[in-house]
Amino acid sequence: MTDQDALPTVTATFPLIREILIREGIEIVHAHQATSVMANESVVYASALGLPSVYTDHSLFQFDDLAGVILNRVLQTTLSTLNAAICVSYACRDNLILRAHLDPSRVNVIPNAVDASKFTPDPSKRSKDRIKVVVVSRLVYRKGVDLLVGIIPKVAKQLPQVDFIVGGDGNKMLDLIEMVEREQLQDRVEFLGAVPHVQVASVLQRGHVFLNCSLTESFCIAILEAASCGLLVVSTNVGGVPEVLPSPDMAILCDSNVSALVKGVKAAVERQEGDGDDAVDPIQAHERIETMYSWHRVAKQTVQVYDRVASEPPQTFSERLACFQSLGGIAGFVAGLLLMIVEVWIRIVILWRPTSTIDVVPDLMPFEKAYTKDKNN
Amino acid sequence: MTRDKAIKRRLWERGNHQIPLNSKVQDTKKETYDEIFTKFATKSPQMPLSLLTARGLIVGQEFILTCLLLASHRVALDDENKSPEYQPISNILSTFQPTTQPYVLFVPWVSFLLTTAIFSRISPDSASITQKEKLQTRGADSLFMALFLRFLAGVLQTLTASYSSDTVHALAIGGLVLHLLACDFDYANGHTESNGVDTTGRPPFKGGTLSLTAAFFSTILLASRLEENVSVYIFVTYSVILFALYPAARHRVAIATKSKYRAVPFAMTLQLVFMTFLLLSTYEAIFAGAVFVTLCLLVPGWVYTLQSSKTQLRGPWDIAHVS
Repeated sequence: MTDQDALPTVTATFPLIREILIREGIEIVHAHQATSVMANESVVYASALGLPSVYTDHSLFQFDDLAGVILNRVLQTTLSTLNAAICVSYACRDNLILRAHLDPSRVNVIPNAVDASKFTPDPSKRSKDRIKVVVVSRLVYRKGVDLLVGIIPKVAKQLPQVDFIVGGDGNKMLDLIEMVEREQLQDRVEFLGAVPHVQVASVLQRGHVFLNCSLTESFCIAILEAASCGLLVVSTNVGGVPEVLPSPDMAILCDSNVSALVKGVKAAVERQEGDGDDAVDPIQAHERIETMYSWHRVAKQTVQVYDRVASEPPQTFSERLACFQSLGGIAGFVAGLLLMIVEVWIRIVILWRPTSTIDVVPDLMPFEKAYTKDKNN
Repeated sequence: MTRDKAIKRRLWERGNHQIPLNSKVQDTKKETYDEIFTKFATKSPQMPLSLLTARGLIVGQEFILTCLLLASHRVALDDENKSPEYQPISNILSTFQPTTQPYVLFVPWVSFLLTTAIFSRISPDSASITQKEKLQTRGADSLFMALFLRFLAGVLQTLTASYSSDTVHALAIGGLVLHLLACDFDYANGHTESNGVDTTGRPPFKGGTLSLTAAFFSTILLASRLEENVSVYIFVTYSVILFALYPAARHRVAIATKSKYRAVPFAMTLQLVFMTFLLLSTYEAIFAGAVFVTLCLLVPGWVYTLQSSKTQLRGPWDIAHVS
């Protein structure tokens, strides 16, 4: 919705989504991303069709700017009949509950994970005499590129053994290039441009320290990938970042200003050079991340949420109407009207495309067979 | 076997259920919505009434500037036409003798310009170029602009001459309303943006480009109703001084009078009000005065009584501000 790719109509996509839900025999609808029109509409349709709905939130939103105010209102309307929500960190959970006015007992926290097998350390790729600080992110305002523009000259002056590797592209790339030109740091700062995701691991393996200056971050998978490759992470202390890595052994957290981050980078460089006790052992760090974070664990926890949600009875029309009207005031009245329009439209679509005309896809791997096969293994 | 394959096989052999879960899903805190809300709710800082009135004063001043523009347009029309179709010059001004009327208009205008000039010079000069260079560039620019505008006045007058008067009046008023809505009041109150030092003699206009464009749009429309090129020239120059050159001076005055001379912006607003009221008839003056008093006193008072009930939600989701 923020990129104006599609406008919410709440009726136009209903026939298609209903057909997909019936054809594939869907039992739970799981939506992602607050700014997605399809996600918001699917949650409304799911509750109207009697299916339980789950929503995962990945980002943090503000309360006081205009985009935040409007999006939060939309989210409050569409998530009023939600069965369960999943957030990627406790900061994200607090943010979602306050934004969408949800019942806290329905909001769970399942932290993201990283595919540790793709992000393995390789100490042979690291240079022996220079310390490399790696920055891989989109170069936009949100990722704190203004802070980076202030940090690089100061660190380059105070620590002559440090080089920077900057991967990524964006509208703030020009600021960085201008700064490098101004301070004559062409041989100290290396720009890689946009790095495809498959090559990020090889870029990370070249570094000793990973620097993340984001101004806001719900759960930073980038620092997790860096820690998995054995780098020591220096990051701003925003959003859900403190919940990701144990600090101070794997991450150094700083305030969001240039001087604090420069101090953090200095401390990190002192730890990493010299191979003392303080330095992060890449293999050990990788194994720690491997045990702490895995997508198998995320899947297991999500299945627990699904089990709980599937056992709830579908909501009746009056329950849903009460949910929509709990918005209060004129908004509640309009939401109630919206719900009634959706109900009428559902009846029209059922007349237009009867359920009997939709071919249901047969289940090639029925549930019982899959379960017994796993046990035998 | 390479290391990647070894890791993959180990994970697959272990199976899903042996990887320890680090947080059970049911283990969420048992808080209610209200508890979470009060944890993050903070009261916004309470602003004193004097600060609120000072801010309201700027909005009122901008409103008076737009009234001044419209009133001076009417004066220019009357000067040309002297026809009974248009309203006579205001009742207030007509109490003076016709020979002294220009001087009555002249005096508050000059005092206003002098006050602005004196107090904008007091503020510290943050430019990195010398005063002499700045004077030279500004002097040369103003002379060039004066000559250029004199020749352009004829063109500007014909731009919208074919529009009907109703359209012109409606559009001009719409443009001035837009100017009021889009004006950068933070800049007018003396808040500077920290980026950029004035390295050339020609700093960019910072008072809001949409408001400036809307004001000029209205002046061009109104200027098309005048007939003499000289009148058009004077009117356009008048508007340029009021809307393009005055905001920067007001900004400097606001910075200079933050601690000492607190009454100066107030005095400047009074001078502008006096100038405008000279040109309006009694009823119009009463109406404009009522709007002005609402903007300057009633609205700030209302905000002052309401601001204690505002709660802000501050938490880890706030985007950190880079200074």
